[in-house]
Amino acid sequence: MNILLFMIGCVFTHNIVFDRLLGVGDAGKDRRVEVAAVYGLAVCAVMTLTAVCAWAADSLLLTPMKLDFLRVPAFTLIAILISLLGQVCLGKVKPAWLEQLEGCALPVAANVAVLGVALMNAEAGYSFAYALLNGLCSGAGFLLAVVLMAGVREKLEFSRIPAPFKGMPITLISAGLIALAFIGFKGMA
Amino acid sequence: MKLHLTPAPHVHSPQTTRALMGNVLLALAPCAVAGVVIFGAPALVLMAVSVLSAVAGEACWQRLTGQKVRVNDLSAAVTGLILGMNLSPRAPWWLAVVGGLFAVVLVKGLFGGLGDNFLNPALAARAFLLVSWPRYLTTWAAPLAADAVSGATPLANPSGYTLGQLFLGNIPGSIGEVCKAAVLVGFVILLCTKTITWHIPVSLTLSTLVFCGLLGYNPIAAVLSGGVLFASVFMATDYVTCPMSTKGQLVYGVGAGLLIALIRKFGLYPEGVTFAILLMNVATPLIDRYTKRRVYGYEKEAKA
Amino acid sequence: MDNRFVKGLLRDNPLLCLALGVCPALAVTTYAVNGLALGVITCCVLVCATLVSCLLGKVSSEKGQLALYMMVSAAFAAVADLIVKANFPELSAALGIFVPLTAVSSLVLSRAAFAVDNTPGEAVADVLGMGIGYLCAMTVVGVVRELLAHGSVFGAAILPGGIPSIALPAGGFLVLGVLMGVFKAIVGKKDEEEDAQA
Repeated sequence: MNILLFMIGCVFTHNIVFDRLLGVGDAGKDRRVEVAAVYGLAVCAVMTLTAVCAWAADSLLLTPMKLDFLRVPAFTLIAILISLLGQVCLGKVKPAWLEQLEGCALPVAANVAVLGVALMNAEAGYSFAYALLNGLCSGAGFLLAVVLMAGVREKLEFSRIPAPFKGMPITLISAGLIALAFIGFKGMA
Repeated sequence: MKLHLTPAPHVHSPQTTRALMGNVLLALAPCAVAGVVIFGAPALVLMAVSVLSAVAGEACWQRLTGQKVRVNDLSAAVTGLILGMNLSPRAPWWLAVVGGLFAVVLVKGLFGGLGDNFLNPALAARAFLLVSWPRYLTTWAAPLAADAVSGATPLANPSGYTLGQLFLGNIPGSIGEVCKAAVLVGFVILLCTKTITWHIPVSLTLSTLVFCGLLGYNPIAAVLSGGVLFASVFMATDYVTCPMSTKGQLVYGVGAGLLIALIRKFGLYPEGVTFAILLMNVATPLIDRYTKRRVYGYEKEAKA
Repeated sequence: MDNRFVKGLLRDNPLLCLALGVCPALAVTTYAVNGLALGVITCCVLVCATLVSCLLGKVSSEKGQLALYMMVSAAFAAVADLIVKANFPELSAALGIFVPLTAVSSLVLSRAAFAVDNTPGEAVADVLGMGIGYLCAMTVVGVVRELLAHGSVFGAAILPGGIPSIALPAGGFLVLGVLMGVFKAIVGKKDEEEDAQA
């Protein structure tokens, strides 16, 4: 039951974009819904794998050797390698999707959310299971956020937004209103 | 000539909007009257302040941004009234002002005005007020009527009230929500004037009934507690923020009902309706995308 | 105003105009002092990473360049984290993972290409403008948010109370979004006036 609550928490109550405030810039980028879905899945995959590898690196290498301070560079390197690997794999399996991502594999790694989750796991001292679930569910939450925001953006395409607010300002305000709605999930996990 | 693109429904002539909004105000009247009868003068004051703030706020914003002042389309008045009805009669008047301004400027004005917002303004304002000043919105007043009961709202104390009381509204609660009979009258008025269709209110109410029942609540009491009926008739049906196709509307209603049940059972907030509908508002563009009506005359390509 | 430095402050303000470094701005600006601190830290990491990258020289592929820059900034972010943890424990607790996250701050990474194509002097001048612009913006957002949420500025009580929800993530989004819009409106007007004069 605890695990289920933890998972629900990661996806909804502590949604990585609307509650933990990571990956906001990426979530709000101008994309169609389909592209947003692919991007979200990519980030989710990278986030999960990075979380797992980072956990391994941290528990097996860094912490025993008291090298915690190397976490940041180490996790960054892991994220870079994983997303490069992912880009290569995707290119072989589903090139169409890769095109949609417009070759932005590295920005996927550079996503604040990816590194953030890995660091969160390390600092909270999660076990393997929780680290994996945190990565996976935060990723799912990210996917949800990206798709929802893309949907709202599409609706706003015809809106007569005042000129200074067009673009990022209104995106942030929209995100704020969505975050307000997500407060409804408080208390669930 | 500047061509102005908007998605359907294309209601932009102030005349048509005004007529529509007029119907909504008419439909809201029974609830407003009931609210004043049950809670007295404070209810009237709050509703009045709310309407005034919303209308004034929208007028000022439109002036400020160099647009034509269009408050006579009555949409701001409707937003204000609905917001006012969502408040506890004991809420301070300034809460209504803040809420009204939040609704018309932040949720509606910044996005472009009527038709351009993605969240129902009154609902979003209520959520903001609830999160910012929880105690003002959760302190209730005893009704004035003779056989009134004071104490916790039905949501907090489900077994403390009879179904009859829940239906007529001699209970603590928000101004416009308590008298379900008045809500139903309003629903009928809206249906008869063809302002709304039955799909959303019915699907939302039934869905709430079913899911609350599944989660262990008395289903009828659940539907009659809190703002389910009021919201399903007046807030979830806002054209701008609900799906356009009937299939979409049914999905929307069912989804909202599910969320209401989940939030009431597992979440922090006893009400749930506010956030449930807001979340469905957020999902509406996606729902619309995947439940598009087939355009008349368009035939699906024959599969090779 | 063609001065690169001033541009970084106003027209090209990284936070308020270019929307870089948004996540930290949302998370830590609940108190002005936190906003200021993280702004300073980000600026330092940015300048150091740029300088070192510049000195290390160009790498063949674009991806390789970005990866190298990321590793350099990760190193400096780690150092910054250590320094803050050691000397300012309360600040470290308040800023949390956002100090090490400056490694992948969009602000820092957006300067990767620029770093190598110029001389160290030019590169540093450029990022210094942006870094200080960011730092000022973070402080302003922090001041506004702290005032609205807690009624204080840098800890000094000014108003009797505040709207606590502004300190929540939702409030952060709304305040930042509105400030951005207002800032753009003001800077935009200034630009128009200048263009009219030119």
